[in-house]
Amino acid sequence: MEATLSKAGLFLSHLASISRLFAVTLYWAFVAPWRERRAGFDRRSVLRFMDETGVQSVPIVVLIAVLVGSILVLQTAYQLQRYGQVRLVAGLVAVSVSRELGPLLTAILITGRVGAAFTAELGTMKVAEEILALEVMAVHPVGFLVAPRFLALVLMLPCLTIVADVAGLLGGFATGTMVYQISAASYIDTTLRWLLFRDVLSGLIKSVVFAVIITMVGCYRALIVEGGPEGVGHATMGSVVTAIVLIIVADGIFTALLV
Amino acid sequence: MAANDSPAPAPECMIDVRHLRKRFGPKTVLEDVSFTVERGTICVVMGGSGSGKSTVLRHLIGAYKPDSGEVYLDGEEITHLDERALQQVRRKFGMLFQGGALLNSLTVGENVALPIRHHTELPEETIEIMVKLKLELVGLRDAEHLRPSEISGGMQKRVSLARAIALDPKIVFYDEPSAGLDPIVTGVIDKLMIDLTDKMHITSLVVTHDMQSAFRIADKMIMLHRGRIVAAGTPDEIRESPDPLVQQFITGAPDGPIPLRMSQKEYQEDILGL
Repeated sequence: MEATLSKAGLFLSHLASISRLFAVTLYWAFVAPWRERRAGFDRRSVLRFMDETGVQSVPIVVLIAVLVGSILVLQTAYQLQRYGQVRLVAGLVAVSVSRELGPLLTAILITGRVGAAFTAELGTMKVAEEILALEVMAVHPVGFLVAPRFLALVLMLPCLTIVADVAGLLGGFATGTMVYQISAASYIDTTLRWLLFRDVLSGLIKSVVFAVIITMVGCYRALIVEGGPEGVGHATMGSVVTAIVLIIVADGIFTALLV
Repeated sequence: MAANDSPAPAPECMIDVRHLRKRFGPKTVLEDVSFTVERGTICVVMGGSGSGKSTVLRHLIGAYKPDSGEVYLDGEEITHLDERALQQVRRKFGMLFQGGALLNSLTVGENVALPIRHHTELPEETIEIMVKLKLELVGLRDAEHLRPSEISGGMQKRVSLARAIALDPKIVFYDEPSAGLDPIVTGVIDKLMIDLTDKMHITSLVVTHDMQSAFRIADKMIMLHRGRIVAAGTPDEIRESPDPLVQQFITGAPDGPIPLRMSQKEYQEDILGL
C-alpha cells in the first residue's frame, strides 16, 4: 500500500515537472523570441532540426505508409469480398488512413527515430555536464536546447503526417487496382467521395499533440538523467515506451471526443 | 532572511562562504564550511573523494541551494536569488569543467563564441576577433574550425578555459583542471591560471586533488575532510602543518588517519559473518 502510494506520488511529481517543462518550453518557443533581448536559441538550429527530424524522415515514413496502405486494402478487401462489395475498399482505406493510421504510425515512427535521439543526445549532454555548463554561462538550457527541437517537430510532424496520408492512399491504390482489378477511375472516384477534409484535419490536429508528447517526454527524460552512460540508455528506452503509451492514450481520448 | 542581518563582506573579498551546511537525505555532506578568497588570488580547495569539495563548488555556482549558510560573490549574496537574478550573477564568472563540457554540436570557435553571442550585441566580425584572441591565449587558434570530438582531452580543456574567460569574468572556477591530463599539459594549464590571475586580476577557485599542481598555483589552500575544513592557510603553512590528516593527504601515504575503507567493523562482519 505504502509502495503504491509513493509510486503514485512519484508519478504526480513527474507529471508536475513535465508540465512545468512544457510551460517553460512554450515561453522560450513563442514568447521569448519577441520579449528577450536575445532569443534563447539560434534560429538556424530550428531549420537544422526540421531537416533532421522532418526531411530525413520522409523515406522511412513513405515506405511504412505505402506498405500499411496496401496491407489495409488486402485485409479490408478480404472481409468485403464476402458481401461482394470490394469496390468500397477505396473509401474505407481513405478514412482509416487519414483519420487514424497516418497520424498514429507517423508519430510512433518518429518516436523511435527522433524522440529516442532527443533523449540520447540531451541525456549525454547532461551526463557530460554540458547542460550545467550552459547554465553557468547563463544560457537557459530549455531555451537553447528544448525550444528549437520543439518548434521543429511541432512544424514537421503534421507535414510528415500529410506525406504518410498520401503515401498510404497511393499504396492502397496500387494494390486495389492491381490485385483486385478495380478500375483506376472507380478507385479514385470512391476515394474522393469518402475522403473528408474534416478527417484529414482531425488527423493533423492529433499529430500536433503527438509532436508535443514526443518532444516533452524525450527532453524531460534526458534532463533528469542520472548515472552516466547506463542512465542515458535507460532513459532512452523509457522515453520511447512512455511516449508511445501516451500517444495511444491521447489518440483514444481524441478519437472519443471527435467522433 | 538570514542574509540581511549578517554584515556585508569586506570589499577586498571576492568569494565569501559562511557557515555552509548541506545534507542529502540522511548524509551530511557539508558541515559549517566558511572561508574567504581575496580578489586576484588563487585559492585551492583540496580533499579526497567524498570530502565535499565538489559540493562546495556547486554551491558557489548556484547549482545547489544550501540548507543554511550564505555565499557572497563579489559582494552579492547568491543563495537566495531566483533564476533570473542568478543569471545576472553568472555573467561575472566562468567555469572550467572537469571533462571540458564543450558542446559537441558546435565547433571549437562557436563554443567560445557562445557566451559572447548570448550576452552581448557585438557585431559578428568583432565576435570573430574576440574568439581568435581567446583561443590564441590558450594556444589553439588553429583549432577554431574543428569539432570538440576531433581534438584531444587536453586541448578540449584549454578550449573550455578559453570559453570560461570569453566574457572577461571576475572569477573563474576550476573543477579538477588536471584530471586526465599528462604532467606537461597540467603545467600549461597551471601557467595559464597564474597568467590570468597576474595579468587580468581574475580571482580563481580551484578544486583539485593534484598536490603538485596545487602547491604550484595556490595563494591559499583549504583542505576538506568529511564536509569540514580541517586545514587552511598558505602553501607553506599547509606543507609545514603538523596535522597527520594533512600530511597523509600531501604525501599520499596509504596508512594514516584517513581510512581507505568506510568502516572496519562492517568489513569484519562481512568477511567473518559475525
